[in-house]
Amino acid sequence: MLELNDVRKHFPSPGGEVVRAVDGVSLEIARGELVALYGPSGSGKSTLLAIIAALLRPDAGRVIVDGREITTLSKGEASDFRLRQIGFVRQTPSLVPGASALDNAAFKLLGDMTRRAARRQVEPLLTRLGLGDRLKHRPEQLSGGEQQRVLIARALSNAPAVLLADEPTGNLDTRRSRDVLDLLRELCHEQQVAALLVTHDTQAAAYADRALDLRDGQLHAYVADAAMT
Amino acid sequence: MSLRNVAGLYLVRLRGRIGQELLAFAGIAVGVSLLFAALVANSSLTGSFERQTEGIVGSASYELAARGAGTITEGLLAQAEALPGVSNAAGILEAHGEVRGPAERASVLVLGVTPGLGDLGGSFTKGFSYGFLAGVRAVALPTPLAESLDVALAEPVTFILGDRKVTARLGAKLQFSDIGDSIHTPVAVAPLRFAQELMEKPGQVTRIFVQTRPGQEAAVAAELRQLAGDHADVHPADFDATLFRQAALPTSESTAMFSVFGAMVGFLFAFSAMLLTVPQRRRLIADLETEGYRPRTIFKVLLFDALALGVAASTLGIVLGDQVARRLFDGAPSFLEYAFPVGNSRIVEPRDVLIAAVGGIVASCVAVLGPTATNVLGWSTSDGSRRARADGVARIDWVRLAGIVVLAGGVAIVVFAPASAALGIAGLAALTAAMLLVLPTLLGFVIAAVEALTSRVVSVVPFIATFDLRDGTTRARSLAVAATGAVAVFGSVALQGAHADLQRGLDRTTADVIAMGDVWALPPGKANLLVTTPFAAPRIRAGDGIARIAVYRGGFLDIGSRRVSVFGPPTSGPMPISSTQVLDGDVDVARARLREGGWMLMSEGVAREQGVGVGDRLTLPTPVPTTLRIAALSTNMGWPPGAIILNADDYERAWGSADASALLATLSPGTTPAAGRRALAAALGNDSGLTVETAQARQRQQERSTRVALRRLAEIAALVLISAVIAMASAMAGLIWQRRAFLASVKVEGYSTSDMWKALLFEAGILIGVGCALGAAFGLLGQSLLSRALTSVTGFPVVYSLAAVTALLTCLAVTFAAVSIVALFGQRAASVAPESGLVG
Repeated sequence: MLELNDVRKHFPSPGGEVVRAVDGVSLEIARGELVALYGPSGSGKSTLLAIIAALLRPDAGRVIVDGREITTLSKGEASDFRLRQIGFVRQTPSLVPGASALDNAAFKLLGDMTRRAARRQVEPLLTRLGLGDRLKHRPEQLSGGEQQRVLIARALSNAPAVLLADEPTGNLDTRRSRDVLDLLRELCHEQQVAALLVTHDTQAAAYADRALDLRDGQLHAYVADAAMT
Repeated sequence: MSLRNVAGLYLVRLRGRIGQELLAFAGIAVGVSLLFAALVANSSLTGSFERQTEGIVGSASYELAARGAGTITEGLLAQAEALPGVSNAAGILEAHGEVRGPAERASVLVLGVTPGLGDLGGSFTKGFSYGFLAGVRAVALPTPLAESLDVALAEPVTFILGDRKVTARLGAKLQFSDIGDSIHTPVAVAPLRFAQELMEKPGQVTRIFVQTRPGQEAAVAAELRQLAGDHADVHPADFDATLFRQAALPTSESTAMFSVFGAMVGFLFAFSAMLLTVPQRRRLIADLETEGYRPRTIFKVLLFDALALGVAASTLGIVLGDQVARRLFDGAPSFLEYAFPVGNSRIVEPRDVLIAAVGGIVASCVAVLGPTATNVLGWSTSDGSRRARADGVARIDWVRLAGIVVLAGGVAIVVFAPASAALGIAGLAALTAAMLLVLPTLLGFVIAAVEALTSRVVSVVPFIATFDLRDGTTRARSLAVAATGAVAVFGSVALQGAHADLQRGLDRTTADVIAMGDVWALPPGKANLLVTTPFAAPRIRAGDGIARIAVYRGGFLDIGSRRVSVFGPPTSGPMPISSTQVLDGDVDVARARLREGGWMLMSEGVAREQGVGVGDRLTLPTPVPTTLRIAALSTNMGWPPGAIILNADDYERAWGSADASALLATLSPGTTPAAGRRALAAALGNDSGLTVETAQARQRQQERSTRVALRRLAEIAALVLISAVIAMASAMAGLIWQRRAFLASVKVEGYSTSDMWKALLFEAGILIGVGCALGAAFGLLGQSLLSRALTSVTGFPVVYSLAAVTALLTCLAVTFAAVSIVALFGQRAASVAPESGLVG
């Protein structure tokens, strides 16, 4: 489903040196597979996510999603790709402030269907995520965990090929983190979505099908102690 | 915290919000500039005339003025001078005319003065070389006038005085040091004897100024009244300034009213901009509280913010306002020149500076301290916030209820209340308040309607456009933007509507007057537009396409504190009255009675002041006091102090003079106006100084003149609108710019730059459109109120017509202009890199 071949992205640093944010990363994630990606700050995790989401173009290498090479997409094609093929869950919930949980979850569908239809489509998903009695609540009326679940619903609402989750449990306590990870795993398996979970949370490895470690732009097998440093 | 530390903290924080602070700075500066410009314009209008009057009369206590622009003899001057309580006396002889030089011609007041005028201590003839000019038999002109005519010293200039052309040499160019504030006044000064020769009025004067010995004022006044008899009136020496203030009142009041609208727009602009910095200030308050600072210190920090902004912006506003006053409001409205020698000195009173500066600083304090008051006072605890949220519905209902009540009050004033200045102002204030209270409800309805209408649209655009308008945390900012448009369009539509009604009324009045003759012969000059300059009517006979020639008489008459315009139409032609002019009485009966003689039509304002009504008798203070009955009450016929119409024969008796002010030719059937004009000019001969004009040409000239007279109102309306466009566009741009992080996060989801841009435009269109539409609707109510006030309070002739098209066009133009500017900012904001949305 998701395939990265020798992907590289380098940036010039203010001191004139070259920062190898992503340096020859190759990776494959199958449908329904959840991969946890560890790495310290500045290891290139966010850059890698941006490349997979077609937000950044790599200097070299190929990124193939559902059989389609995405590194050559134009800006418009890249937007279209993200809207229909990618689901994003971020650390800080980026919900639309004045809109209800239902509207926020349906947000990603508005490019393809009417608001009414979009709401109808996401309502069961929100109910499944335990927000059946919070459908009309606005973000400020929801807890952090509830907001994160609204974002998961949004990310999965368009039945994406790839789910990218950037520290989805970063702001949650242990119990709520487990709930969120549990849900992510369950939904990815059920909806056959290839999921990449960027995290510092050591519990996440237990929920992932695989765990990897990104250091200095390169992927390594995950070693729990190393990830803790 | 010491003041130095407060200032240091201010500077550090300023770097982080310089953009928003500059917007607020611009808003307050715009508001202050409009307010200051209008204040200076008003001060200059009345102030320059007062100074000019003071320059002529010096320390004189009384004037003895010939009645109805007639004359009195120099013998009376000698008698006045000989009175025991009089220390000095001087006479002047005045006549309106036209002066012609090689390059230009101009309306001018020819003024003959006696050497005694300098002894009164006024600045006017301080450096006037009376002896020299008397010796060479020459006139003096202010340097600017002489330069515009392109006439050099010792060269001849031609004066048209009545129907006569006379020539005199230019003996002196007067400087500011010679005549002070009258330097910009169109005046030609000559020694009295020479002026009498030029005007063919030997031994005559029009006014005598008297300086009394200390403690002798009352006795001198009584003696002067005895000397005056029925030929002259005794007034305080600066009576002309009183008459001028009365005549200029509508101009001053309307300018002041619209400057208030301008200031409101500017201050709303500032308020919108300051709202952008509220979250930052709230964080600062929270930080200071956490660090243990007391509310008093926090208040000091915020007050410093407000004062720094207010003082800086007010200073710029005053500088800008000075430029606006110089470039746009310079010079007096031309209609005042018909009765007063008006200059255009610019006078800045300390009071004007103080009002404008205090206005700007208060606005700044309200904008800074208002939205954060609850935080400073510690009322914004989480409990309080929750309670406030819970009470939200009740609060919205309260606003709705208040809006409905105030709106009902405003409409009641518009529909039922008797017209008065106080009720007019109360009505406008009520309409403005109601409009602002109704705005949140209307915006809510529109958002709901847009959501309903777009619920089947497959696009993210309407969703993004409406969510921010619903968001409680940004609602105040959104409402401030819409309120700016509402206030500006309200003021502008009300003004433009009333302005158009007044224009129609004046045009109709002009048409009624001009319809008295097909071709007119009258003394030339812009100042004679009301046809008030007398001349000895030449004996000419009809023929060559002219069926009849009649004499029209007109002039000014001082009644009470008003310089009233007097119309004396010939009985043989149509009376210049239409039903739109008559406020009390029957128009046909009034016409018949005027023709019959012994009756007059009087402006309601003059009649009210004199305590008379239809059918009553009133003795006019004319050169030959004459008692006439009132046939009907009318509007002021377009002359602010009011008007009187009596037939030309009654006029002749009352003024004791057969002089005409115009000859009116009625053309034979089949004669074209151009042929009639040529025939009348030929009959008058080449030596006549009279100008001959067709009725059509006069109509065009007068309509042009009234448009110029009302120019200032149109200019202020345009300035208010331009300010509003800039204010709304800036506030929206600031709002949009702050949302780039959100836009980036939406783009991460896969929505395009184009979607974001369209959504921003849609949102701006809703917000600005709703504000402007509401302003336009309320503006139509305001128009009705203003038009009624113009007729009933100021007495202007008004033909009311709902300014729906004006309202629609204003609304569309302002919305389009503001949204177009927003489009540019929106494009930049929407182009934000989506990857920046991954941060955080």
